[in-house]
Amino acid sequence: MIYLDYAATTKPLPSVIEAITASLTAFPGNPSSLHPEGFMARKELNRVKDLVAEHLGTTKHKLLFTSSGTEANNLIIQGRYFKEPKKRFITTLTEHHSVLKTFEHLETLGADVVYLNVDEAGFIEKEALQEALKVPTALVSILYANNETGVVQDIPSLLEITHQAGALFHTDMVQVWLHKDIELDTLQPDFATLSAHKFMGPKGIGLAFVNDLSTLKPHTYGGRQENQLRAGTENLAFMTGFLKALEETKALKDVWKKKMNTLAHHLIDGLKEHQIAFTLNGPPLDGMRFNSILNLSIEGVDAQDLRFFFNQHDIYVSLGSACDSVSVLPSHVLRAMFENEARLKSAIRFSLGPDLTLKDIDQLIQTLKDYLKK
Amino acid sequence: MNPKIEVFHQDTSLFKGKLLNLPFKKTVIIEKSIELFGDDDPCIIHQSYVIRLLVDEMLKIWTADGLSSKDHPEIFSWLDFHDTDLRIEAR
Repeated sequence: MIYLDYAATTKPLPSVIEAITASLTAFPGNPSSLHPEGFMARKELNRVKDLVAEHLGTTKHKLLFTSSGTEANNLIIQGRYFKEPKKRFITTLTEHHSVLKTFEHLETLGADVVYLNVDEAGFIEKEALQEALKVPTALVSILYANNETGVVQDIPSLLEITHQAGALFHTDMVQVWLHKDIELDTLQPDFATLSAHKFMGPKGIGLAFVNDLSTLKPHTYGGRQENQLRAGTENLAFMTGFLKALEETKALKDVWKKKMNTLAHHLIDGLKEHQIAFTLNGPPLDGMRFNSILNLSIEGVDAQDLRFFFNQHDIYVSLGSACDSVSVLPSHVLRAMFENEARLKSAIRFSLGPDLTLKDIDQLIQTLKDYLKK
Repeated sequence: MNPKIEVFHQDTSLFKGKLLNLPFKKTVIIEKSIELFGDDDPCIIHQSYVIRLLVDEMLKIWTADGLSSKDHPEIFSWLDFHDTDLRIEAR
């Protein structure tokens, strides 16, 4: 099997699974219980949070664990809306659905949402953000690195523009950790989102960074967990898995990054060498992008058909398409970047990871050649 | 692969179009979806994947003359046509 879908999810490391199992066994108590079992769990929870905060360059009181990146995005965006419903919200057309659909829902409640366009390479124009910020704004939400194209926005500049206008800034960073260290208190977003399963942690645990807790209204009600912003008994075992994944991947990140860059160049060079006509959607390799997420439109190909062929040859990729009630739609991210239907329908995402080898990439190219010969 | 085809009952043309657009029975799609995904209410993406799988099965036994219901009754039982004695030809 050749797995080229790391941007969708990664396999938990064995050490992560061990850490989760050990935590479930050692800390069965409810961290809110006022007896020794509860005290032990609470103490462990605080230890884990302290260490997670240390890895992310911040303090534990700014971190709220959730069940996913999607929930973290909802907690932040809805939390801002219910705090300041009359103000404007600004996002982009190339966000993840967990952001876009949340804003669409808020529009039905009366929210004023501006969706910024992107250029053909997937970048936001700073002037458009400045223009949109002329109206008092509650939140700007911009994806750090796009999960479909690997495009990395100039977040420090966008954040500065937002802060100059007196608005708060959220960035969804779920694709970032495997590629780049995160120092939240240095970057200084007001909100950020992470998700463990994107970096060899378990599915079912996400994280919201909230610089000032008073800027949000809670999105769930019940207990006082997670600084009274996310009620519900904490998932200590998966928090431990989150921490373990951070620790293990941090040590390997530089080596992996080099490897993924090599693999990306090998793929692009190999396609050229074999005269396979394609367009790399987004900026060129080594530009403002993660080289490990490559979205390619392959000339003359029906992407759904090619994915089916790849499946039959144990090569696993994604398309980024979505469904409405009657049809399969091309990726909304790519459609925001360009309108060429043939290019949209022939787009496939190859997301690379550390387990892949140059031989795997060669086999991918050979399989693609076999498909094109059909 | 999604060739253009035509479906005939005797000399009457019943369907003209691409293989992937054949009218597959909803029950067959659901049955296959349960087998593949454990899902009795698949979204359109999963339904289209199932159809691709069915079409792939058809292409594996495709001959120069196309396919006939006499030779492959099980394949034709997937399709939502009232008539029996059908054949599919490439166009």
